[in-house]
Amino acid sequence: MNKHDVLADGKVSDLRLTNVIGVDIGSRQAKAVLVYGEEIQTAITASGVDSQETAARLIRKLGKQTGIEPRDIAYLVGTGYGRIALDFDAFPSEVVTEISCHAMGAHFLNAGTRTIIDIGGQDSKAIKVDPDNGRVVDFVMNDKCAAGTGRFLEKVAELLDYTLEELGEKAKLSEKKLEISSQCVVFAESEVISLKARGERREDIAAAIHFASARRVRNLVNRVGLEPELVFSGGVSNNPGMRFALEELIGHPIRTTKLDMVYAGALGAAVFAQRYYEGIHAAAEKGVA
Amino acid sequence: MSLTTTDKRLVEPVKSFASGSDIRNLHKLHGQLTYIEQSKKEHAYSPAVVKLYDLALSYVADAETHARNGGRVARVMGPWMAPLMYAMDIVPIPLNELDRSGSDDTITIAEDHFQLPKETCSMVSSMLGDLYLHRDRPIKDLVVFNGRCEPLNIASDLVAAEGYRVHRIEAVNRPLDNDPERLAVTVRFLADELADLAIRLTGKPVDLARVEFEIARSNRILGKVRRIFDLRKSNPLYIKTLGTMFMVTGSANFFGKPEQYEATLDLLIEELITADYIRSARGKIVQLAWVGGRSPAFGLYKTIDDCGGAVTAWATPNSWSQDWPRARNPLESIALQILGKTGGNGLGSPVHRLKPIERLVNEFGASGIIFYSFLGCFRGVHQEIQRDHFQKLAIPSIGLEGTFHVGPPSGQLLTRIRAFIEMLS
Ligand code: SF4
Repeated sequence: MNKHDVLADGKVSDLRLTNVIGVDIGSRQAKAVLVYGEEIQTAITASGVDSQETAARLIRKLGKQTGIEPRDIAYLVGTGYGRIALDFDAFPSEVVTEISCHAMGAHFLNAGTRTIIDIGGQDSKAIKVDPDNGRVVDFVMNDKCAAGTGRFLEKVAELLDYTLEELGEKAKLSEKKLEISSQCVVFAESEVISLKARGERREDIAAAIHFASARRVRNLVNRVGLEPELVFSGGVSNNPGMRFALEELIGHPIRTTKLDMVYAGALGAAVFAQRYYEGIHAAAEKGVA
Repeated sequence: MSLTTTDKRLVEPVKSFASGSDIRNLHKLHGQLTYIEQSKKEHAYSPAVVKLYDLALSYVADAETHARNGGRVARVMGPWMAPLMYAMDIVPIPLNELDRSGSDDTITIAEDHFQLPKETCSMVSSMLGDLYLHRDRPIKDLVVFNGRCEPLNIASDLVAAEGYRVHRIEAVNRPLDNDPERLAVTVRFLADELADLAIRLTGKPVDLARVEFEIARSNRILGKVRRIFDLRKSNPLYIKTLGTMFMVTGSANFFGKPEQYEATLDLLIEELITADYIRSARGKIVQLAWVGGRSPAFGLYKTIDDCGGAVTAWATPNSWSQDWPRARNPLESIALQILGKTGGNGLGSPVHRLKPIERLVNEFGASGIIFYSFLGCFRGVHQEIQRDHFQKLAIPSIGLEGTFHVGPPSGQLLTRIRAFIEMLS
C-alpha cells in the first residue's frame, strides 16, 4: 500500500524514514508494519509461545514481500502483550506499550482521533488522545474480567458453533433482542447454553453477547470521557457485530480508516521506531553516546 | 534478498544483555529476594543503600533469634507502635511483614484451612496463611488495632486458635469535623487503651519517660528521612524506587534495630551530599508520587526505574513527612499520631488525606500520581475519591490494584505503569 492511500492527510510527511518496523505481539495475533520507501507493508500471524520467534516470522514475511534483510532494518519497536521478550542482534530495537502505540497509530490513520476503543484478545481499553500529536492523555484498562475481550468472543463462538469471523457477521442478522444479564464470562457462558436450550436463534444470541460485551467497554469509555473523533482498534476491531453494538450503546459513530485497525498498534510502533532512530542519530551528531 | 529461516540473529536473544537494568530483562527476575539482590548490585556505589537492604532482609530472622534467646518481639498492626514497643523492650514487626520468599501455600491455606471466601482481600489471605505457616516459630504476640480494618480483625481472631496471643486496642476514629472536645475524648480513650496494652504485654505500666525518649528518637529519625527526600530532589536516582520504599517502610519500626537504622540514614545523608548526579538511561526523569499501599511485587518499582520514572514522594500509611505530635502525656502523643492531624494514617475518611497528598506532590515535584491498592480492599474506593480530586486539579494519576501475595506483577500492571510514564515523558 502506498503511504498516501493509507495515512491521514498531513501525516505522510511525518513518516518519512524508510525501513522502520513496528511489531505488535498480541495474545492471539501478531502484526507487523514496515515502512518501506513510499510503501507500507503489513504482515499478520498467529502469536506463538515464543514472542521472539513470532517476531522473526513476521520479519521474514515482510522480507519476502519487500526483499529487505535484517541488516537493512533501521529500527524496530516492539509492542503488545509479548513485547517484553523482544530483542535483536541485527538492528536496534526498543519496546513501547501498546497504549502509546495504538494512540499514535490511530492518530496517523485518523488525525482527529481523540478517543480510542481498543479491544484485544485479553483486555480492553479506552484511550484519550491528543489530536495535535497522537500522545496519550488518559487511559483505562479492563483486565479484571474477560467479558468485553476477544477471548470471551472466542469462547462464545465455540459454544454457538461459529468461527470467530462468523460470530460478528451473524450477530448483524439478529432479529430479536435477547438479554444476557451477566457480565461475567463464566455465568454468561451458562446463559448462552440455556438460551440455546430454550431454542433461541444463534444469531440473536450472538448479538446479545456482543451487546453484553459492549456494555463493559462503554463503561471504560465513560470513565475517560468520550470526545469525538472515536476510532476502534485492536484484534476485535474488524468484528462488525461488536462495532455495531458499540455504536448503538455509545450513541456515537466510529470512524473508518483506510488501514485495517488491527494494525494500528504496529503502525504506531513503526512511528516510534522512526523517532528512536532519529533520536540516536541526533544524539550521535551532538556527540552524546 | 529474502530472509532465510536459519537467520538465527532474529530469534536469539542478545548475548551482551546482562545488566538487568532494562525493562526487557524483567521477566528473568523472580521473587522479592532476587529483586533486592539485583537492586543491591545496582546500588553498589552506595554502602548506605546496601546496608538498608541488609537491615530489611535480616529483620524477621534476627527478631526470631532474639525471641528464641528470651527477648520480647510482637507483631503489630499499623506504623505507630514503635515508641511504645521499644519503650517496653519489645521489638515490633509489622503484621504484614511476610516471608519474602512468598510461599504459594499462603492463599490456599487461607481458603482451605480457614475457609475464607475467594473474594477476601489478598492481604488478609496472605497474612493468615503466613502466620499459619509460621505458627511454630517463637513470635506469638499480635497487637491489633481494631479500628484499622474489619477483615484483619477477623483474621486475628482466626489465628488466635493457632496459638497466637492477640492483644486488641479498641477502635476509635478521628471525628470528621475535628471538633476539639470530641477529639480530646477520643485521644484520652486511646491513650488509656495503650496504657492497658502495656500492662497486658508486660504485666506492669510502661515507663512514660522511656516512651518520651522513643518519641524523640522517632522524630529525629523522621527528620533524617525528610532530609534524604530533600537531598534526593536534586539526585532522584541515587536511591532507586525500591530502595526508597524500604527506607520509608523502615521509618516506622526501624527494622528492629533503631540505632543501626539511624546510622544508615546518617550515612545516606553524607553520601547524598557529595554524590555525583545519576543520569537516567532514558534521558528525562519523570517524577512520581506513590499513594496507598506498597506493592509486594517488586517488579513494579523496577519498571518505574527502567522506564525513566522516579518516585520522589511516598504517601503511604507511615507519615514520615511530619513529626509525631506533642501532648501532655506521651501516650496521648501516640494516640494523636494514630489519629493523625489530618484524619489519621489511613484511618477515617479519605478526604482528610487529600491536602497532605497535594502538599507532597507539590513539594517533591511529582508530575503524576500512582494510586495503589490491594485487590478486594475497601480502600480501592478511597483511591477513586482521591483520583477524582486530582483529576480536577489536572494532575494525572493512575489507579493500580494488585495482590498482596508475593509474586511477579501481572503483565497488565506493568503495562499500565509503563504507559503512564510514557504518557508523562
Ligand atoms: S488490604 Fe485493605 S481490606 Fe485488606 S487487610 Fe489491608 S486494609 Fe484490610
